[in-house]
Amino acid sequence: MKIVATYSIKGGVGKTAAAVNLAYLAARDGEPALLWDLDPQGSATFLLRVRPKVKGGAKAIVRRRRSLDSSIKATDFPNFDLVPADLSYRHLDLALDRTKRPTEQLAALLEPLEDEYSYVFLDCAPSMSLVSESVFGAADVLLVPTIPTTLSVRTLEQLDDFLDGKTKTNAKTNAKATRAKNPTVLTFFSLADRRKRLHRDVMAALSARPDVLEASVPSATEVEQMGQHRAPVGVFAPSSRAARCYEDLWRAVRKAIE
Amino acid sequence: MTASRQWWHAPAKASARRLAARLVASLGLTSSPSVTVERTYLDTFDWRLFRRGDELVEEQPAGGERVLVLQSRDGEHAELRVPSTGRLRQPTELPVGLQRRLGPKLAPRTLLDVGHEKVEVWPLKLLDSDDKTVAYVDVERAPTALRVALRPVRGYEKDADRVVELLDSQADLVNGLDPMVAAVRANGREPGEIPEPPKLELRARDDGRAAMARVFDHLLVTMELNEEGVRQQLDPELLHDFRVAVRRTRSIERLARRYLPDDMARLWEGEWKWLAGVTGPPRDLDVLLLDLQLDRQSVTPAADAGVHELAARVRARREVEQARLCDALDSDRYGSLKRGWRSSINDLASAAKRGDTDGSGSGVRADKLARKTIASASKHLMKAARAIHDDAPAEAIHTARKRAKRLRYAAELLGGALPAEEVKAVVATTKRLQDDLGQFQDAEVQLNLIHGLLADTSLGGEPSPHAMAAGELITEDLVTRQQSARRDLIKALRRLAEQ
Repeated sequence: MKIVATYSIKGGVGKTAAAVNLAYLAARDGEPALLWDLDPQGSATFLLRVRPKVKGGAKAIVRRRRSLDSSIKATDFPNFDLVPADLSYRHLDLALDRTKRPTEQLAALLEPLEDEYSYVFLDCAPSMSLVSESVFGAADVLLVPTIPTTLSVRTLEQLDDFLDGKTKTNAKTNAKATRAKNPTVLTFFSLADRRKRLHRDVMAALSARPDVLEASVPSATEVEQMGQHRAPVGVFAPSSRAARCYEDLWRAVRKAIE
Repeated sequence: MTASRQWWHAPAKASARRLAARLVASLGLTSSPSVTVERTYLDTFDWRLFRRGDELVEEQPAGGERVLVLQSRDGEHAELRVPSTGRLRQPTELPVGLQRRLGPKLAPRTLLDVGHEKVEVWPLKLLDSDDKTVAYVDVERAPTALRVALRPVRGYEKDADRVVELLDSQADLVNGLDPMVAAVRANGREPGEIPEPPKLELRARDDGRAAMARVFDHLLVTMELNEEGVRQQLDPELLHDFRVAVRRTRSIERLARRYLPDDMARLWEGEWKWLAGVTGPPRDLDVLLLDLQLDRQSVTPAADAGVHELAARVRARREVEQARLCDALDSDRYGSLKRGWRSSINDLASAAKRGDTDGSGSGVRADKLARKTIASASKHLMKAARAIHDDAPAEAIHTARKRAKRLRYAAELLGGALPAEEVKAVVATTKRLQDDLGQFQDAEVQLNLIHGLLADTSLGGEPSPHAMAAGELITEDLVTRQQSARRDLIKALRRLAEQ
């Protein structure tokens, strides 16, 4: 089971759209995929038509009063399941903080599902918090959507600094003794508009970074329409450019994972 | 864990369309146009999927994409739907997602078509207020049945319960049979049932000849049960079982010859040798093919192309050997062997029943016969074991292997007439020994086969550089494995010789 987290400190960069579309593509290929919506806004939950209602709240899952397994809902797409989020996820930080090793909790909660899913996608809320650190501890791959603008580049650098610091801490505290992973960071350009010079310049400047994937997702109507159709792009616009871009992105991510 | 699937049957002559329309109205379902679906249920000959509660079905909707659907009959695992690219029958060729779920236990078996049905399906859904599907209800018109299938959705078990309640309340619907079970039965089989020979039971006080007749009968029935599967090449295991029965017959016949009527051994010895010879080459190719399939999972993509080509050559040669094997099984010679051997077994059993006091084996109890036969086989093995030294030729090791096998067969088959503890250790020792010896011998056979297959241009022309490279890679691996097996078994044989 490989865990892919779509993560960014910034909001509105296409994390949820990427998580939903990539999980859908993995499942369509016959690889059972689970998407865990960790964002209290519950956007992934909404897009997949699942009601944002978590029995006992996120706290019940973290405190093992309810198993993660019992919170899973099948989506309308074969092999694609979801752990929905609701507003209780805004307290996920607090719930994690009350556990012994908060940054290892998500990995521990996912462990029993090891044999059931090929891929788990974590759709993270835009923040730098204990939840994020727990995500870093669980994920094999941190997939970072980046809008090719100056501010996004700055955000990416902030993430680099944070992860560098974390790697050093893990090395000091002997990460092997814990469940904490050092995820591979993969960046892709999201909402990219090649008609804009700034976007082209930023993309050119960042493409030298080894973690930047060639595949990118454009700013496209079909991605916005996901909210109307409440389905992945591949379902309602399978031959659109956006759908093809997500397919390219999934191929690149899968290749990096393998 | 999700709720398990359920079926209801409606009167067979009722209209499926009207039933679907009624359910839409009374259960508040939404409907889609009907579609014709061809289903082929897959399982191994020994029902490995059925026995663990799984069901694998290949579905081909008219005008749609073919999919493999793995379902859990008790709802323990979620349904897995995987696009199917062809009629894949080797578990190692299945898509990765399916392989992961099915596990490695399925690996040496071939997936067989165990049942087939063509149905017209009216797909209905129960939606919630977000238009999310919370239960699937299919009305299916099969050739001889009209049924309603409920597929619950994970996380929406309460909705499924509600649908169950509503379907239960329909006067014309009764709980029905799993369509897979019905399809398999229509195919003349029973899911989970493996044709097996009657259990071999020997008693210490039995007449030795009666015990021998029972052993030979058990082996002949085993052969007969596997014969059709061997002919149809359903699964490599069937040829293996057939061949083992032949070898066991030969071993017991040879070891206990002095207790058999003179003509019984003399008449058939050459014929059994012939049959063993016919089954050997295809079995060796089966083993090589299974090993190559495992190799393909652990090599680089470039080497994989070579292994794939090599496997294709093995299959081509296997087809030739299969034709020879089928000719042998269809021959008068094989028919005469079976009839003649059956008649000899019956004569042996009759002599024991009548209590004939003349002739070989008269007056010998089963336990005495077993003990003496096992002792004699053991003596032969010890002699072969003592002849093994560091530089012993492969032939000497092969001899030791044959003798270890004979001893194991004698202990397993005739040992039934002895107290269990008397034969337990012999069986365990020979089994361990045979594993080491088998690894050595398999490597020896495969080395020869690979060289022969790459040199044989009748199997698809000159091999490509990829195939040659793969051949070299596998040869290196086999040589390493053989050397390691040789060291292990020399140690084991020496330990045995010192006992």
